[in-house]
Amino acid sequence: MTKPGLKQELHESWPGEPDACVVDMSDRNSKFEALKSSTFDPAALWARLNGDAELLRELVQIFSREHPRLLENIRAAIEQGLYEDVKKFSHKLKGSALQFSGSGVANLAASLEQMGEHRKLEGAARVFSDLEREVANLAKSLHSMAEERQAGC
Amino acid sequence: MTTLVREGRQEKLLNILLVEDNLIDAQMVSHFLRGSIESFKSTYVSRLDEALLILQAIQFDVVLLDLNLEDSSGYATFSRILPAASSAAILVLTGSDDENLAIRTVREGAQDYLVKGLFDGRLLVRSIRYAFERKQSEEALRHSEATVRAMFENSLDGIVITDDAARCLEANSAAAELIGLPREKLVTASLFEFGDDDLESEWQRFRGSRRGRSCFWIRREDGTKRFVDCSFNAHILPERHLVVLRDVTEQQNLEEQLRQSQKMEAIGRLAGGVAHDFNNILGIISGYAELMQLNATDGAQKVRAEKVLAAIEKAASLTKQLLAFGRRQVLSPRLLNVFDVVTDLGGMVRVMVGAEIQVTLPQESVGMVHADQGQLEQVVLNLAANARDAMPNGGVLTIKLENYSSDIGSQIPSGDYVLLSISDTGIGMDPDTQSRIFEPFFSTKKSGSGLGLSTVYGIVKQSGGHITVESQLGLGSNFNIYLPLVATARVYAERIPGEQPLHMQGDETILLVDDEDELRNATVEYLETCGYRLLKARNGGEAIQIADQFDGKISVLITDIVMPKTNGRGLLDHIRKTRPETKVLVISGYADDAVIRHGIFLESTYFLQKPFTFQLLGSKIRKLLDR
Repeated sequence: MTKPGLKQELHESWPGEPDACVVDMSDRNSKFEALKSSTFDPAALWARLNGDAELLRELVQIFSREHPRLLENIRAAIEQGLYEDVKKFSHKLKGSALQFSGSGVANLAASLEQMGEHRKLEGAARVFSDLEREVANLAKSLHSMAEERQAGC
Repeated sequence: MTTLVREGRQEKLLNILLVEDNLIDAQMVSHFLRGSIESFKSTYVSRLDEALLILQAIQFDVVLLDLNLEDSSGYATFSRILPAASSAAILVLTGSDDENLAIRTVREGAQDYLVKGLFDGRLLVRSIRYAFERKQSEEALRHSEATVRAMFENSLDGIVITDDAARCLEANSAAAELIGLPREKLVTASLFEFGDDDLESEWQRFRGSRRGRSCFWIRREDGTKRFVDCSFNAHILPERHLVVLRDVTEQQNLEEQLRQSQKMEAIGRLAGGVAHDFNNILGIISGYAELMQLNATDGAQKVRAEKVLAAIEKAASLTKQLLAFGRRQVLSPRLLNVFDVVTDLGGMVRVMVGAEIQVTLPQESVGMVHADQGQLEQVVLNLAANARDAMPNGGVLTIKLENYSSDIGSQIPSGDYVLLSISDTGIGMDPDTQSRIFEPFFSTKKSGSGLGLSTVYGIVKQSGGHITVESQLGLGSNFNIYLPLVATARVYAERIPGEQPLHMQGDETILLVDDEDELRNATVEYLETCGYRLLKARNGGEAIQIADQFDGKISVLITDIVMPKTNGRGLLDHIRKTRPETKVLVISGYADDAVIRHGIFLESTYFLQKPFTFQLLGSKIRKLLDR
């Protein structure tokens, strides 16, 4: 999916207002426990989305589409020593991870962003390797959460 | 402005521009906005250049701005969008480690910032609404400040903000100009440094009463003074006071001139009134002294009477000066040799202008004019005084006379004139001053009344003449006075009253009207001695009654003008209707403009100013009868 163009309203980019799927959070909290880790807080994400399972599904879909390209961009930038690109793509991945309450991905992406900022990429490949693994874990957790929420509706 | 009515309250439909290159963030924000009960219309762009372009076409209420975009990052993103979105509230979206940057943007004009991952839909919507309201308030405040600042800067009145000790904290340019200090020097200076001595106590009174108004003098840096009308408002802010200063110096000067003028007028009236009453008394004394002189049985009695008459003459001279001071003298134009007038004044002019000014007087006589000698003397003296003031370091004052013929096309109407020129080598006048010098109350002198040249102008005009001025700064001034030529000096032979005995006898009937009993009685006694038959009345009404009841011819009516009951004017009108053959001689100690105000046109033959000698009265009567 490409980004919406100039003057194109965001509303039009995501057609159709989804039916709201409001979930009783007290009933569901126990189920987040299985997904919770030191690097991902599903309860915080669920609260921020105000228990909107459809929004969660949409965001997870976007993340699934976007993160492979972002990781590829970061890898290429590290290999070519492009500090600005390392900083830029890492920053973007960090922002997405923050919205998903994925602190593990956010911290690793922030480390790479700092390396790009300071133009020092020593150890960047190792951090990137950790980042790839952490993104995969986050994506898996998000998918699980989205499927579970969808099923719960 | 689009408004929606929701649940009884009106809300503005906010137009929001979201500038965000992260699709997840964009989707989340968009979703929050759609789900809110608030009314939002949002437009999404992912690049700064797109944002700048759309901001040129559409006015947004709120801009949600991610600082790190594909084509711009960090503070530069904010600084570039700020001028393009100056009317919108900017809400910065930032990562958790960008808070310092976000705070900087708030200081520079962003309304708020939100950290990604730490806001939900409710916080976002509330932040947008607050940001918009704050921006509206700021804009309203900015407009208000701009308006007040424009008024402050452009006010013609001086405006000063002071602290408790009257020290200027802020001042507009009008205040700086009024006080005569550069604005930067005025700020931090105390008002007490410029105000008169009473200002400090006035200041304490102001502060006690919270607001007040007062007038006082301000001493300017250059030593001059300005009179100001001051309006004071205490504590417009804590320890901040508003002082508005209006320069009313010109108004104050005019009022002072008016007061002075009214004072002089009052003194003139008083002087004229005193002179009138005094003249009547002198007339009585003079009359009886003359009777004593006529009836003297020996030389010693006659000499005593003559001494009394001589003293009366001196007293009459004093009253004449009083009348002149009160501008109540009778205007008596006569044939004058201007050369004689100017020459006779020469000594006085030299004394008046001082030794440092050389005075040159005319050497040859020119033609005659018809004018009042006193007025012509006043013209010369006023212009000489003016010349003296224009030459504080000395110079030359030249008075010239010549016969002048004006042709058609000249600025002076065609005809023959006596040209009286008075010139100086003083400081001269600029064109603006020249154009105003004859205006009443216009003066370039600190202590000038502004009436000297306007009086000159009035006299010249009253005499049928014209006046022009030529002047140049630093090169002196020249006043030309053109008085209509009446006769050449050679053909005029002035008839001076001789010592020949006056013919004063007669047997005609005279009606004498005067409210001064003693003077009337003395006059009657004298005229009866001359052989006339006298009818006498105390006022106009009584005179009318006597005239109407008298069957014979009344040859002469001698009457005062200002009298109780029917005044002289009413009596004259009646006599002219009922006895047109009766000749009239007006006598008055108040002669002057009071007579003129009564509407009586006077020629010297028909008027006799008190005090007069009986000899002169007898002579006048005889001339009237023999005419």
